[in-house]
Amino acid sequence: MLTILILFITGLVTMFTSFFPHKSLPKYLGITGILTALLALHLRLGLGLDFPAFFTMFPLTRIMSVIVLILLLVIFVLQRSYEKEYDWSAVYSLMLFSTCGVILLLGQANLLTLFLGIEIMSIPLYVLAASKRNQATSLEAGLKYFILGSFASAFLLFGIALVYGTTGSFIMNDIVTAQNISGGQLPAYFHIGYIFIIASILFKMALAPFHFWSPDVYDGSPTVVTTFMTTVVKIGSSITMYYLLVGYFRNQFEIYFKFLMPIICVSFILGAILGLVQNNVKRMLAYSSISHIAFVLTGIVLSIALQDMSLFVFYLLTYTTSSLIVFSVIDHIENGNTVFLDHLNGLSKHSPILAVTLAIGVLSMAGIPFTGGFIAKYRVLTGIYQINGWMFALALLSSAVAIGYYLRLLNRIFFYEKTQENVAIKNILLAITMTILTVTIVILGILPELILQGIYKYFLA
Amino acid sequence: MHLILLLPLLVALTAFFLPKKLVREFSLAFSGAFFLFSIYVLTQYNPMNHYNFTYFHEAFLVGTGGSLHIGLDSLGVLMFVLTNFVVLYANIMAWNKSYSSSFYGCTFLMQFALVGVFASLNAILFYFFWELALLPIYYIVYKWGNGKDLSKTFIRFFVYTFVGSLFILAAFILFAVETKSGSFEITEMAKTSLTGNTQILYTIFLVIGFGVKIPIFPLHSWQANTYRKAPAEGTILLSGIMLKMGLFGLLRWLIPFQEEVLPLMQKLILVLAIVGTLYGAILALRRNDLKLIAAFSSLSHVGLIVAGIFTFKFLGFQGSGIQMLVHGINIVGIFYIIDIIERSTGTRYLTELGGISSKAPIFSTLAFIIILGSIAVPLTNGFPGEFLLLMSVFFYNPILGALAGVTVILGATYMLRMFQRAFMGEVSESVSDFKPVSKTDLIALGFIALLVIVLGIYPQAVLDLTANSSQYMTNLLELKNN
Repeated sequence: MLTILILFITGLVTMFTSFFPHKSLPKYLGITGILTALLALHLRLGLGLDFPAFFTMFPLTRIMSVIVLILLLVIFVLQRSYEKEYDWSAVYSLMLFSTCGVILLLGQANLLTLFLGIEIMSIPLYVLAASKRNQATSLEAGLKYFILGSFASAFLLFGIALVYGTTGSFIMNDIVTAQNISGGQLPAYFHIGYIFIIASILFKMALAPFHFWSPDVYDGSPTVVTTFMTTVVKIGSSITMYYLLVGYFRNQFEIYFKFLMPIICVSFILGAILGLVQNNVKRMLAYSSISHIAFVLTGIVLSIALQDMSLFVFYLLTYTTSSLIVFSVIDHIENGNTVFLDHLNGLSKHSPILAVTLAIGVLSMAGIPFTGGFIAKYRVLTGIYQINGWMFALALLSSAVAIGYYLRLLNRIFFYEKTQENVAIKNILLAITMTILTVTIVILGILPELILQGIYKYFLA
Repeated sequence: MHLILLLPLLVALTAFFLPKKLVREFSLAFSGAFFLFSIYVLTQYNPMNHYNFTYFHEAFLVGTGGSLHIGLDSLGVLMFVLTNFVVLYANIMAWNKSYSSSFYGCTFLMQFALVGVFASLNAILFYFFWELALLPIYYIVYKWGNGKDLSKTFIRFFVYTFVGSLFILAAFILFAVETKSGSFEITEMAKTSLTGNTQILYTIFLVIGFGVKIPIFPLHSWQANTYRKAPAEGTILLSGIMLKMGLFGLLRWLIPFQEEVLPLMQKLILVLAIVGTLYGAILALRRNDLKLIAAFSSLSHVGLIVAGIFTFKFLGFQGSGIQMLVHGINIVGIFYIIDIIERSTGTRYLTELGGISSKAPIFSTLAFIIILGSIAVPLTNGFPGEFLLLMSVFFYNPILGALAGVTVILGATYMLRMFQRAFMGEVSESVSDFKPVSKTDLIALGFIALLVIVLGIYPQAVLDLTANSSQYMTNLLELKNN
């Protein structure tokens, strides 16, 4: 709770820094705030601000909060202010507010917290998506995201109301108890409500067939916002899904498996095939994220079937790290315009650091050994095989097709002649951060147990 | 990590960052040293200690639980030597071509991955290196390749091999889940066994996965164009050692886990392999591009090795062992010859060549020796392997054996046709200003020619080395079938 408070106050203060002429002030203020929040998490400061029925510090909450904060920190550090007249203080503060929502979601113990978290996470995002005010695509993205997101929120609220109506409580444990007492004989309203809730979260995760907003929004938003959406927000919505399936509705395994399986399969297919025909890098990555999040969702389903939560946590960790790398590099390449594949031509000659970093990020997304992506994918695949052979084949096939577009990206970087001016890294801090991220991905691929056990030891001690 | 893996990795990482002036000497020195080191490992290898691997020690932790081992058995040791040999030759061939540092970095990275493939005693570790080997070679062939539609050719190559790899991954996951063995260590895996449909699936998956890389007949369509458009160094890495990964994979990861020999599968694969053998040879007969002839001859030779392996006989295993080594040596020699011709005349098309022997007699003699080796004339190194393989196929089924025997004739035809058109006859226009072949090239080729003769006269050294390993596999299969 204290973490949220610190982030919130930092966000508020950051918002007012636009009065000062100092351009980097909001950035450093934001970084200080995040570091303070991390410190508070590390020291486990509570200050008596605990409301267990509202917000609980599960071990998962603690782990994921740290990961979310580190991701946010890296986003702040890597941020390149390419438009001088742009109001960055607002962007930073809105990202901080949105992160408050994500952390609220990570510790939810209550359907109301869920709703609050989703809204606090999403509303700043609508503004962020539209924050390039002089570009029509950005405004379109914001509007589209806002309207569809509002629908999703309405569905969520409707679903919560129905679940409350049948179980008489918002609290996670009470809902589970109500399901146990009824012995599976809950009225149909409960199931309808439950499907509405899950569908609205699927919308936030951008899984097919709820994915239509994601390529437009990814493409239209400023890249820093896209980075934020693929990393922090994806963690928030995925963990929410985990709480829904494992927390609130843990007795409905058969139903939700039947319900989610087609969604996962369609996402595998669409994510792989639609990505193949894109020339716009951000749209391509939006489609790739659909199939990756389908893997995450599979991991969540498996975490119940196999009693092993590390599957999806690890997948989420590697996916967010590699997409952080990829999007940060793209942020550095673009000049405020859309990034097409052509813009990547000959990057390796111009800026080897960016090229190698991007390549390793992309290889990790593709699931090539020695990157974290392979281990993550391999573990989920092994899990899927035990559940359903056909889904396993589909997942493998989707990875195989997806390699096609990742390869197109890599070919552009390494083998094409330069066609336009690229930006080289000048800032040493950026180079160091990029290197650390790349090394992390490789270590996740070579010594995953080192990192996993480190995490467990640190948080479960 | 043991030295055999650690050193190439370190050298690779160093080579990437060295300035262009130094990297050539640095790489040649280190690849030469590695080759000598591999010979040392070979001499230290105890031939009594076969299919029981010589363990080095714990290598990695790859999130699969437990520690992963690396080690070499007798076949692995042979392939390890061959890897170092091919990488050395790639460096020698690159000497005059002013490649950038990343080329040398990639060759050593390739060596790292290949040694990893041959030394892994754990399925996941094996897969790990198998995939890793794909990246540097892809970089080399694409970056320094030439010809039209590079992007199309190499994306096809990559996608083919990557999909093949996924089949391998699928097979290993299948094995682990079906046998409920948590471990991927080969010694643990050997204790369990697959049955019925699972075994059929496992076999099919692995044959497809390895078959893409070898390539086995219907999966070969990436091969010819990739070989043709790749730079010479890339081609020798691909043909000399990468296709051995597939053959090695069959011997290491498929044969010992055959619970029972499935006669139908066996016959199907044998027929496909022999069709590939004949098909490759026939295609090679009428090609004009020297590289394509070599590529198709490779397809033909490798088909015979696969056929030999799938007879599941002692002779077949023995023949495949020696032939894997010898094919590696000879194909490197042939692509080296083609590279020299191309450098000296600017063309590699038979119609534009002729009369090289009058311009460069020593080079032509050496080339002739290597070509004889590739034809498998007795007393050259190609003979013992081919003989054992043919004999093994013949014992399995005389008709198939006879068909396979036809390739020997076809092989002599296309190879001699190549020699005749390029080296004999009138001196053609492009050959008339044939640049003299450098001493380095002659020495390097001479070493291959020496190997052709030495291994032709005394193949027993190699056969002794692999004998116990082959015997082990034969006994294993007989045991399981009875």
